[in-house]
Amino acid sequence: MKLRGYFARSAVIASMAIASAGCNAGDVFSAGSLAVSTVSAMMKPSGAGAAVVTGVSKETADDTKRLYLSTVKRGAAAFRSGVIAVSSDADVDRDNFCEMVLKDVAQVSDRGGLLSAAECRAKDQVDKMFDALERGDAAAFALAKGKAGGHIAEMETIIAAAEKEATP
Amino acid sequence: MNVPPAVAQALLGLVRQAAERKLDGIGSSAFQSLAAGVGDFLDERQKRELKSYLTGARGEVQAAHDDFRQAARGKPAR
Repeated sequence: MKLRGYFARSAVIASMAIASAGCNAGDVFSAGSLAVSTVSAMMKPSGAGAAVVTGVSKETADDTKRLYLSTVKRGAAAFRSGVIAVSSDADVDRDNFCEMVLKDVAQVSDRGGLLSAAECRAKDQVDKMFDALERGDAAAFALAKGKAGGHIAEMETIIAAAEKEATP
Repeated sequence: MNVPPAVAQALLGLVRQAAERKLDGIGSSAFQSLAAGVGDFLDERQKRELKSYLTGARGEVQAAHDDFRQAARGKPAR
């Protein structure tokens, strides 16, 4: 319970600092995750504490994973229902599209292409988040989780805009 | 319950760096020493549980990604 109090207060501190600094959504996710992981790292002086820390990281990783899965399923459904048209951007159809996106060489312009690119970036960060959790690298975990959150939010914005337009 | 001043100060410093968009440069030695070694405290059972969780989670994510890519290319679900 003591740990929860620290998290709650830390979140308030982080929120205030972020609000005063005027960041974008990705930064807010990153900074928030960073704060949680930092407190986690600080609170692990004993073996018992470390078990709690890992539990917290796993739990927050699972939150991000669930958010990713639900957003990706919503995106796939939007494509299949025609709410979002299949992209006419040629790169999207390539097998190595995500590699191209991660190297910043993919060309996307329409809604389907932009959503696909955001999905590639989100998936890459979710993978990195899992890798960091496995290594016990709290700093990399926080960064990847934050960036994943930013890309997932970007996907949600694109899907929501399409759904709004499709609603009569 | 009060947050210890040292914790609050460390958090504020890190958040300030994040706010200044220096996220990629945060790997200072102090931060690394705080962050490093979480896995070192896990016992064998916890390590197995984590590995099992990660295997399942990675599989779910990959499956959802593959299905999304199919949909994005105008192909039906597998």
